[in-house]
Amino acid sequence: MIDQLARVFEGVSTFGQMDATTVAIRIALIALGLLLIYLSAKEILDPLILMPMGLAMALVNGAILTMDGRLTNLFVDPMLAKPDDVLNGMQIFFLQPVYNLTFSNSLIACLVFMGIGVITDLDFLIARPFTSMLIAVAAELGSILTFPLAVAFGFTYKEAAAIAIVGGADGPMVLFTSLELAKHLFVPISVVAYVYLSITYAIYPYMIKLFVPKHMQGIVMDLRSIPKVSSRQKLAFAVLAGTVLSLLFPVAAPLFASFFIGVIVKEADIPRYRKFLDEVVLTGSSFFLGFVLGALLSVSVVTDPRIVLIMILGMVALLVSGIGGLIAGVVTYWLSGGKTNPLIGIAGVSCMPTTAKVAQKCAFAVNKRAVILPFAMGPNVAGVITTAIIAGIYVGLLR
Amino acid sequence: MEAVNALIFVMGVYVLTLVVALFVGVVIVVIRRATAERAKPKVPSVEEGAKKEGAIA
Repeated sequence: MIDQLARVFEGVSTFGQMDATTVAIRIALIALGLLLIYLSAKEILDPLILMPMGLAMALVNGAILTMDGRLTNLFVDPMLAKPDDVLNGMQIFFLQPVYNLTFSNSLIACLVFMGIGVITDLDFLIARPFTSMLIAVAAELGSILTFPLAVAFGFTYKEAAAIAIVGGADGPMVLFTSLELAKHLFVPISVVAYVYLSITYAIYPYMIKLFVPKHMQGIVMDLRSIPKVSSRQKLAFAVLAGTVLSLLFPVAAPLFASFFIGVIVKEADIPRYRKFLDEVVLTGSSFFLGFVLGALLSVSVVTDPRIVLIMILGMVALLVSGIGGLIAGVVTYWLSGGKTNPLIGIAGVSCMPTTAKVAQKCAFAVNKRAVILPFAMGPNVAGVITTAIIAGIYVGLLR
Repeated sequence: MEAVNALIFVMGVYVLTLVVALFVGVVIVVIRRATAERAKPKVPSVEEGAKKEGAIA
């Protein structure tokens, strides 16, 4: 009788087949999934990615069963490598086709990038290219300084680079780098990155209060000082920059191509493509990105004890990048004779458009007349480009 | 020692990133200049001037 009940309620009975540590991790992952759903529903975290991620995380760790003598689930098995196993897996695990056809080859990151390209505003980047690019380079400090830190903690160069790129605060780039350099750490790094990216909205305002004097935060910038940039100039930039960057970093060319095709569709004003990339491609890929990442975070997959270190290093990377951006913002304030609001520095951290919105929100909290969002978008877009450059260099040198 | 080597390596990566970022900046400036020259107002041709005069008349 008990045996029959155990077979019927297999998700519960599998607790008995695990050691105490694994049971604790499994319960913790279910609880974390439920917490993500709660915080997303309250809009404390970004619900677009974290709601499906939390749901999948809770479900996949509940739905563990025995198959061929081992504990698994029917969602996805990222450990399948041989072509025959993958083909068989596609008949069993319902998310396996999505994983193998869009995650293993970084297609999902490219699809997200196409959507980001179509919502990108290039005006300030083209109007003030050097200011934007230099702020963005400073805001990559976390992607740089976390690397030796990770090596000091025992990670290899490849693993350290995959972790450090979290400091670029660019989800698709984190996916791409970890898939290229440290596939075995792809799940924990990507999940940590996406959870952290959604809490930048909550953490960075405190950092701004800590590092930037209040009288600087409310500086009003003159919107008329942004020269008019034509669509033709933006199109020319997208075509040329895409070509040049692909020429320099062929390993990152799919990401450059995806980002700039989005920009071109926007600037060429092709409404049907624009709507398709924004409403279908970006929305669909964000949903599956969150859901599959959550499903990958199963107790049978997350066995690397270094996940705690990855969590610490990921947070360090994002905080140091924020500090780098703010320092660049303050330097720009001094160089411009006090005409530039230093908060645009935080937008150099390329979590687009979240960090630009954070800059605007903090400026607005101090001065209701301070409109800095159009200025913050310059370093924000430049941040996407500099993160891609660093990822290209890391992958090119270390793969 | 390993961490120091990693720091030296990553500083090289940072410098390279800075150089490429500045290069992207130069590309933008070149595009701006090139398109600004094209955008200069054209001297109206004799026919266009005649048409305009006709229109005023």
